[in-house]
Amino acid sequence: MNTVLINVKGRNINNFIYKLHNSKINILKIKYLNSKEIDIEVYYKDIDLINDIKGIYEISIKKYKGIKRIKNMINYHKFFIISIFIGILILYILTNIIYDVDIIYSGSKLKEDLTYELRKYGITKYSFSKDYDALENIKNKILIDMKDELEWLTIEKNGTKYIVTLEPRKINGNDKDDTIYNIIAKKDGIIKRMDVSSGDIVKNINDYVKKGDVIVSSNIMLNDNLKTKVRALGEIYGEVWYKVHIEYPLNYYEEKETGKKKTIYNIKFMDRYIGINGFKNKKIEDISIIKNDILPISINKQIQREIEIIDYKLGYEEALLKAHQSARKKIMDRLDENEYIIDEKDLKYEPKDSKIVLDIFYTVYESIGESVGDIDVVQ
Amino acid sequence: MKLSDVRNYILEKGFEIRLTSKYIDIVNYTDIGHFDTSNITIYYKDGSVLIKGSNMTINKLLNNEVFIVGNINTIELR
Repeated sequence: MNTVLINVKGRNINNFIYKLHNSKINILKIKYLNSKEIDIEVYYKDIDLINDIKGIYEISIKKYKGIKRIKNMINYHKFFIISIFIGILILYILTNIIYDVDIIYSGSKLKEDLTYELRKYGITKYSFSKDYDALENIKNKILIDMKDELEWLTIEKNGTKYIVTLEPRKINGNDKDDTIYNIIAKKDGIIKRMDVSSGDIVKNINDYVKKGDVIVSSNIMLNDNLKTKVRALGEIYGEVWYKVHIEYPLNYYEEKETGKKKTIYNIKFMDRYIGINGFKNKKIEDISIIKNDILPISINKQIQREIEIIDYKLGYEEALLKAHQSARKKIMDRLDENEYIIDEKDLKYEPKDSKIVLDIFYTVYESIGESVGDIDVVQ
Repeated sequence: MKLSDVRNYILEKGFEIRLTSKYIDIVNYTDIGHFDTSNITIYYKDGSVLIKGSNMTINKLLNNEVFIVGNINTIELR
């Protein structure tokens, strides 16, 4: 209920109270300031009646209470409130309008096509910025629309600017290859298997070849004379050798993503976040929804990826095992499904400070043939 | 408890005086006869109450309730 605090002045102040009482006006509080002055609290609805019956008494409203007070405050400060509101609105608009779209690519035709596509999806100058999901969505749509021209595309919002980076799709216009090839050894090794469908076999299984040696020649000879040239085709596998040097730390620390992902919203003030915390250990990616360029405060959409922290100390034996696994992985990563490690031997093992140093010798079965073009053309 | 008592308890229809050494709260009075800092007369349906004391002031005055604070010496029911 709205009430109002009134100051009343006049002689024989109790008469005024009688008057109010006789007019059935409820007085919620009476405070005697002196014999001729009181403060009374009455309902706001009774104000007109009090003015009618006040007679010789001077009355003045000291304070409104309840909703009426809030209304009065708003009314009193309306220009200030409106200014603040307009200020925030302008700030919001100015910080959310895109003033430039920068496509980082030099080719004018593709750039032109992409600009048209971007415009189609509302990525233009002087438009409102879009959120992360919308940009991802647009990016995917453009990649579908321009699948023959674009390999990949990113659209990033940087302040009041979009930065578009792209990689054009390279299409080989002419698949027909008329080049004559020899098959040569691309590394030193011992030939272990030869699947040759065309060409003159120069080396045999268990032959040692050095890098650059011709294994299958394109020259078809008859009685020491060059009869014809064909394209040498085939796969050559051999035994090759690697020496791997590895240093493995005894103190192990790793941050591994668990694959769990969360999207939360929070307020960032300086480097502190106010709001939901999300995962305990995480990698975070902040996307500012509302950002103030003057104050270090922003409202963020935060994409959190949960990480598992692996932190432990290894013994020498365990570190040795891990070092072998790591070295083996290094070799295996460069092999395809038909290739494999034949043998491995430790050449040197040395604990050093907080790590172990290991040299391993690997014997590997892998493709050693490489087609190298000749200058001639098949007739 | 009779039904009329329950009704009276909820609606507070009856005249009632709540008293401490520093204040008097009177509900369901009919009129205020006289009041100053030493004497206050309150009328109710069946009679009147004369309150004597010093520095007494009416702190709240509603149509059915009056709240008096001050040094209260005597209360006379007439």
